[in-house]
Amino acid sequence: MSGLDKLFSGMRSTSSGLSAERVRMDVIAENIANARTTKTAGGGPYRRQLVKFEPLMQRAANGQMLTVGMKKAEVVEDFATPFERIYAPDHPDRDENNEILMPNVSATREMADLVSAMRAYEANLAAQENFTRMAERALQIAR
Amino acid sequence: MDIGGPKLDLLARLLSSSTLRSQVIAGNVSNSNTPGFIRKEVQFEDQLRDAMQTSDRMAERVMPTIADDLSGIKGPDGNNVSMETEMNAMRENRLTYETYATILEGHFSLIDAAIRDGR
Amino acid sequence: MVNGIGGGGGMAREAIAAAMRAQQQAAQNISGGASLQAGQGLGATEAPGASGPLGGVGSIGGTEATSFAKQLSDGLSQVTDRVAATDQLPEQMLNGEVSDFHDVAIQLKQSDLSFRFALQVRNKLIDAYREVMRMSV
Repeated sequence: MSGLDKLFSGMRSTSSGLSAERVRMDVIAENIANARTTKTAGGGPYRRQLVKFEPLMQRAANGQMLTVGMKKAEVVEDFATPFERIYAPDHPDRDENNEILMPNVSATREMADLVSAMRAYEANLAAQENFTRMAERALQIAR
Repeated sequence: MDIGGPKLDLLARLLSSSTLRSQVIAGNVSNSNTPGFIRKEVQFEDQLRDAMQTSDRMAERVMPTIADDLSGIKGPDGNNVSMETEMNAMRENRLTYETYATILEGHFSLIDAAIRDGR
Repeated sequence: MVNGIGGGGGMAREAIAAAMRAQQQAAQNISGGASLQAGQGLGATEAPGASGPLGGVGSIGGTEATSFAKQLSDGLSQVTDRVAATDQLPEQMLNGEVSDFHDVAIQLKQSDLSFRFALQVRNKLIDAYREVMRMSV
């Protein structure tokens, strides 16, 4: 904590947001890359991953609490979505029924999440620009 | 020789509420994926205007407040943050800040002119 | 300084009063009341009860030199306070007491204007003094 925290709380908040969206995009990329991984080191198909974030809170100038960034809490596996069973008689990993289990990654869902993360990233960038401009404008008053 | 005044104080408070608003908007953007999160907004100008109609003393006591904005549509996870809303709010707030700053500068430049005595 | 001018009679007082009124009128038309305390962008304001930058200077024309001297002295100590407050800024920043950039800018601007206003008052007083010295025989 430094004395300049209050002055820069907005800018730091958006920096943290940018990092968070970056992590989110990395996880999505990992999911997409492994969309067809039927056999992982631990056995079984790749399971979709998602990131959980915790908001960082700070007291605002008027006394109320305010989100000033996001802290990465954990990367978890998605157990809510089931694996998909596909009929694949030529697949080397097929089971006795000629079926394989595919990862629970849906390309459309990952793309939608990716678009959402990118827009959030851009919004954070815009907010950061705003904070900088507003600070510069404020200091201009002293000239 | 005190250069001050209620107008100056009002402008300073408006600027501060605008700064708070920019922080709240940034907080909304950060929480765009937080399940159950409701968008927040800063309420000040309306309360201030109402208080000013009562008395100046009442107006001096008005503080900006952060409140839930339930007007957005909630997604399946209960989150009602929309990027368009936040971007619009950002743009509008930025312009408002610039306007307050310009009015404040105008106020100071009048005093400056009086001090210079036309020279 | 003021007592010496007072010895010159009513004319001197009138000259000074006129100069003060002109300055006060211009500034009072613009501002007029409470001052913005350092670092307080939100919330309560100070209302020292002054009716203008010089605080009720309207009483100048015709009353004792002491009330004018007192107002002048009060005004000057306000300027000193403002300038001193500006000196506190770096320390306040390091201690986390500054929360908005515009608070810094406003304080600096006010300090500058207060100081220059005081300088102008001084210049007018000197001009008036010189005028008076030219007159007395």
